[in-house]
Amino acid sequence: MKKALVIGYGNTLRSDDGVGVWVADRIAALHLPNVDVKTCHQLFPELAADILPYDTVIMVDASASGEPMAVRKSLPLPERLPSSNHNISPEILHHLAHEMYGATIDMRVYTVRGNSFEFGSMLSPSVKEQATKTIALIVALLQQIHPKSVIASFMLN
Amino acid sequence: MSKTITISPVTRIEGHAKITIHLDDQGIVQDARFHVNEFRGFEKFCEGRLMSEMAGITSRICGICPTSHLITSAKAGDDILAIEIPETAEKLRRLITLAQWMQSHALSFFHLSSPDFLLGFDSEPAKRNVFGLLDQHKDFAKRGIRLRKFGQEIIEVLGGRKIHTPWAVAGGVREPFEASKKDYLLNWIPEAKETALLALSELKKIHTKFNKDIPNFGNFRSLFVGLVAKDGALEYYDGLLRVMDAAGNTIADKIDPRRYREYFGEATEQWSYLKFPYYKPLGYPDGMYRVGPLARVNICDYIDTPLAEAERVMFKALAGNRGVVNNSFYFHYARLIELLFSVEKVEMLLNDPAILGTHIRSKAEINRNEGVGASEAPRGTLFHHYWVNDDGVLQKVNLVIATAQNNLAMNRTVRQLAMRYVDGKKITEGILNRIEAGIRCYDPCLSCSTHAIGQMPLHVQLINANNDVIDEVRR
Repeated sequence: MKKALVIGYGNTLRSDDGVGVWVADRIAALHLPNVDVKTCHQLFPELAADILPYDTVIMVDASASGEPMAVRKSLPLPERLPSSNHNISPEILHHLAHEMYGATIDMRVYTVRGNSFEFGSMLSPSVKEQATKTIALIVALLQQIHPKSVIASFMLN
Repeated sequence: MSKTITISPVTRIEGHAKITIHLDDQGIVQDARFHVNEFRGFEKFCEGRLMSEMAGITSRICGICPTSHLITSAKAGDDILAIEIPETAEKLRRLITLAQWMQSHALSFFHLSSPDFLLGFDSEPAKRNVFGLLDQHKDFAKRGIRLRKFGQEIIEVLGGRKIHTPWAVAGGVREPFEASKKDYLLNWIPEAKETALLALSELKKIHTKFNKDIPNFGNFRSLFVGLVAKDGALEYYDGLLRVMDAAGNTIADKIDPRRYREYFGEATEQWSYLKFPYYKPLGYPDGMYRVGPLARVNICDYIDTPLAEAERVMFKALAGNRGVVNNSFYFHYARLIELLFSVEKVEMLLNDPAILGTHIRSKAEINRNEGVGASEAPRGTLFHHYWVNDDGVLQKVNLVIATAQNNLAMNRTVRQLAMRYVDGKKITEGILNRIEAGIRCYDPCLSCSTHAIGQMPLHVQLINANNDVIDEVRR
């Protein structure tokens, strides 16, 4: 049975930085079968073990620049690895799972560009709009993975 | 013509920081500074909030040590309620604090510092990271990550899976410990203990391998500050403040943490947003002190777990007749002693029937308009100081974080390393890495709340007195 994990991460006290958690919380509320949801402040190495049971892992994060909404399907390590802080990037997490456990997980990163990273717990209206579209995109992707069950559940909600 | 070398940002530490190295006309290092660029403003943000919200809010300050803020905030709340919390609640708070130490110390050693140690300061930067470590020391790297996972498991068993759940509250904790989880957590202990001991064994080899570098890694006289238990034991959750000088003399002891402002001041410098705490009786900057693992293991009289105590005795032998270990490189050693202590102590607490109690929260109204919470976060003593009105609304907040308390010492460390290694002509990768490694001894956590800004590459600039960039390196 294929399973998917959605990880929304960011700081919910830094306004739009919390968009990943906002999206993940709303996907969790859909109670999609075979879809687990996790939220965290930032990514840590031990998540490499947590993602092993899943075929698909969908990360949702804020970005500080770039397109209002974007998806990265290819997650290569940069030629020179950015020296990691206490947190790690999705690319590092993806490769850690592979290097440590031989996992080949389909991982995608959805990003929503933030407008404000000041202290605050509300999303900017435009970010909320993009986040809503992101939820639809993610649900559509999950529908491809689990055609009947997901769509039925989504419709019920 | 004098020059300034800028290293910005420092990698593998939290937040945004840079290092500038100031050279004189002869290219000799005159000074070096560790700058922190982000203004937090968090204390102002908290004003007007309800005290009861603070544990949940302050735990979101930081992604790496949220539990320390959670617990310290709850303790400030206890003080405002003027309440004693139930025994079970205290033991559960202790358990989660140890889990935080375990998690944080494991990340610092295995993930951040081991690439330097096991692959070498001068090894190829592209491989001097966790993947290089996995390539050559796979089992070691995996063990470190599993140790972190054990800490996380404890936190999730107690606090739930939802991020920053305000599990600890003024008066106690919200949820009791599920007895069914006890054996599950105890099953982790043998592996965790073995990993901590393995790390200590590897570190001792590192001490030999880097014996020429170690004397330059923040080897200077300073005070050491931390909480100790009433009987002098290593403390992590409660206790009284002790101040020890560079010769091992206790110069202030049994200080109620509520009185921290009488003993510690906070200076500011125009070139950094991070404050510079100092010990008031010696003034600024002579009152420089260090907190965190090095300080805690230096100042305590003993550790109340057998394996960690045996290591503490060996650690103290490094000090010889001086009484304290003054070299910041040994933060790593002290950190691993605390890591081992955490595993041993967690085992003791899990076997303590009191943690299964169901009386977990005492309740009271606002009984004081001011409260202080203090605990030992992984990086050092953490103070939360709240002023509230009679309705429990925050009027003022002061947070003294561990990383700030090490600010003077981190600057001194950078200067010492720059003076030793920078020749005024070229900054090699090995030199850069040693300077960064000097900062990483303290495992600073500056502003993890801004991760969305992303990680920037290391940027080094050599700037002359006319502000011209005469050399530039990015990695």
